[in-house]
Amino acid sequence: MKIKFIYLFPFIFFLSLLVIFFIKFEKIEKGESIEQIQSPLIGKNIPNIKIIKFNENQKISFSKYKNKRFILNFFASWCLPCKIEAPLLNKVSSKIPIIGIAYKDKEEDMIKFLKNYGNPFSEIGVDQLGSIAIEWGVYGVPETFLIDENGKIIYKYAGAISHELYKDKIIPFINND
Amino acid sequence: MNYIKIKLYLLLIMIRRVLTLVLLTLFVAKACFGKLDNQNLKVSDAKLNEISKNIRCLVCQNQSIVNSNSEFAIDIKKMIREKLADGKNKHEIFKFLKSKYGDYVLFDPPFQSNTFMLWILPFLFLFLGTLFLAKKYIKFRKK
Repeated sequence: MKIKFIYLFPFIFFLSLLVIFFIKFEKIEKGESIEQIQSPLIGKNIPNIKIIKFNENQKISFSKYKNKRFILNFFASWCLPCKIEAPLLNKVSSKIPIIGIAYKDKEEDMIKFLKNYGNPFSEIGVDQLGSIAIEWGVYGVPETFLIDENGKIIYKYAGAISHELYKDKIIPFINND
Repeated sequence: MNYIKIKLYLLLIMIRRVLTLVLLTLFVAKACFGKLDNQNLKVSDAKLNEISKNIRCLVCQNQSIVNSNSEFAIDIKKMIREKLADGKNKHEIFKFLKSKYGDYVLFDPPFQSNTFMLWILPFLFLFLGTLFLAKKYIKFRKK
């Protein structure tokens, strides 16, 4: 009995969709592939919003970083992945300035966190209301931005920095490769 | 003496009536303004929900920010309230969110080069299905 291809097409189509979904879910389940939401801020200038420094009544001046590459990291003492990425951030801080933005954090908890896990930040800003995070397109902590010498965001990562990310993205960024 | 007593009694009654009237006025005023406040709150809540139901909670599993209590949802809802209070409409709010989080933040994908298949495929399948059924029907009629 000869079966025309047209009759089989819907089954083949949906079967292939099912296989694709299954493979994707398997990868996510195993933690091999955590999809990063592509930020529309990539390639754009850093958001023009006032960020008040922690314990100081003045704003962070980004003009200080003109013609310099730097990293901006949203963190919080209550966030577990921030503790996980702390050793790597400390390592990175010896090579490039890192600005930290404390997201909805209590002063005393943050001081304790920096004391226990090290302070990799050249400057710390505070975002008590979460409004700065929205301007930067942040939806959770930690999130890390790589900013080039022209003040443009060239990469954004949501989640704790891994050794792979350090090797593949951060080191080439520091070395300007 | 009796005369003074009567006068005092009348004065007390008057004071009581005035106080009752003042309290009643205050009560009615409070009720009216309270109702107005609630109405305003309801209007903004309705607007907030209308906008929020089309915004994806990026830290949840396929959920809009309406029913989410995540930090992200709370912050975005607060921002929407502020923008509405500033006189911004829902399109301006969607545009702002898209500029910060991309198209993914909205549940309605826009019709553009990388999403056109999403919009076209259902119609294409509908067309092919109808064509197939029509062909079958004509064949059946011919028989």
